[in-house]
Amino acid sequence: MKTDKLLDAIGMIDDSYIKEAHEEKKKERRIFRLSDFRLSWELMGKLATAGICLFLAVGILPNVFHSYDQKSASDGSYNSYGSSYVYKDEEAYASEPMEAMAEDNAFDEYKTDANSLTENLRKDENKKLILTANMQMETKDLDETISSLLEKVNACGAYVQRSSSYTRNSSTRIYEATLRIPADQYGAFIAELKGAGNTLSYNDEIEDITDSYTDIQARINSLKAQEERVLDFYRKAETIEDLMSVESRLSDLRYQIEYYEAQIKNYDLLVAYSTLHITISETTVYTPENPGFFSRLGGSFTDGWHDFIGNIGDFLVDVVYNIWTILLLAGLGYLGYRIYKRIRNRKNAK
Amino acid sequence: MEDLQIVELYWNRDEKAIEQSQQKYGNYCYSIAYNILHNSEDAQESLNDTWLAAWDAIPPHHPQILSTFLGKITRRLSLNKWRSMTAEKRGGGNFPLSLDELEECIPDQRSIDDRLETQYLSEAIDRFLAKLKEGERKVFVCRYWYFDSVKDIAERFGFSESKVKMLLKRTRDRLKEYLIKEGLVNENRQTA
Repeated sequence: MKTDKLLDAIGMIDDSYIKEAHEEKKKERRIFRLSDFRLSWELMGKLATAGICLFLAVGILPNVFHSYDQKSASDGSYNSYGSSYVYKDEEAYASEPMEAMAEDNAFDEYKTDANSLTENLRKDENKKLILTANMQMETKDLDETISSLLEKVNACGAYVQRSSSYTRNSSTRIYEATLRIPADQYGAFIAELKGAGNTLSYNDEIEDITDSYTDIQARINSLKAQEERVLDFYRKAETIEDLMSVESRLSDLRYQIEYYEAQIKNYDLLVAYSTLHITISETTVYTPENPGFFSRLGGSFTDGWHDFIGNIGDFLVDVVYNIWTILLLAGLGYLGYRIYKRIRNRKNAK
Repeated sequence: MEDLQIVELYWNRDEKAIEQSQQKYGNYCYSIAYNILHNSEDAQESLNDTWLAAWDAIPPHHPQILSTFLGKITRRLSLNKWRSMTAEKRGGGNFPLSLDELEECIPDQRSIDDRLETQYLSEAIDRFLAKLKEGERKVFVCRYWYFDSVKDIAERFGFSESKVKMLLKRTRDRLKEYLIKEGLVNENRQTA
């Protein structure tokens, strides 16, 4: 064979070259290759854990905070949106006896009592009370309920201060609004609103500002008395210096009077118009008043599933939204890997 | 046990020398034999012959590097065995592929047919290897001395297989040019 001599010649090369290559063969190489990975339970566990963490970090947490922010913006008194919208709000019940809660019509009674209390308090003309309420409802036809709500708003002289609508978890339509209702119409308005859908939660808060109101009125009266006296000085002033000094004082007093009068007007508005933060969600089946354990369990499972699907959908949407950034980073990563590999190969070749 | 101690055992004609050699360099020599013969029984047989040959060679030899000394014996014996087993290239393995590649360097064997010329050729290859970069030299030796597969070399050096093939092709071309320049191979593709 014509290569025999060359083979023999190569076989006789210097020992140092043979040893050099042998040393290289003995080295342990730790090069990342997909083929090096073996499918094992440990690896699968690690991959699953990493996937869940990634899903939580990218998919769920932003949505949780997003929901929380949305809720906080519209309804500062609630801490949890997801649970309170399904079941009656805990704060609403917290102020009522447990016996009342056990009855089917406990919520209606509570609401009636609250309104009666409000009405009774309002009978005292000297009392300055600001009523702020939160209400959550569900309806089977959101558009019709909103339309009905707006009709009621117009009929009783109320107005919509703020409103927004959005879709949660890609399926549940939500309408949120802040309504300003004339205080004397508030009880009737709430009673009418009850028939528009299924009320999930209600709570109200009455802030008594009588002291502050009276104090501001006293300040205004005092300032006006001072204004009268300064005006007398103004009329009697003989020198330019006196006139200028009195005018300066008069200007200062009028500024303070206007400031306090604006506060009084704001208070009057708050007292005259009660504030109702209302959230209406669309549903196919109304939530039962007192769901049993298994019903709650089933509801939680179903809601959890819907949330899960919704979060996956949101996650995919986020991924697609950031696809160019991801591709760019992946490209840069691959380029970096290639450069690193080339440098390493050159080093090995030397 | 250190190589010097093993060599000392050979010199003292102590049979433990073979045992120690087998223990320390058995796998190394076996891998060389297996790369050539591609059969575990033949490789084992070649390995046994290696220990016997080493027993006969030491003394008078006093190898400085025992591993390469034993490896060279294994390689030579395995090649001889392979030659005796087949007149033509047959079977799988990397060895026939290596031969195909080396044919490009010496297309005709008419002028290089005795031991002296083989020695000249080996010295020329030594000089050629000295001029190569370390990585290129290692790849060449792994492929044509140890008869490692391209895949193994690629994994060991962190190269792709195509890169190893290209590297070997370039080295073979340069070896051919070098041998022509040294007058060991004619430009008309005939050995001197």
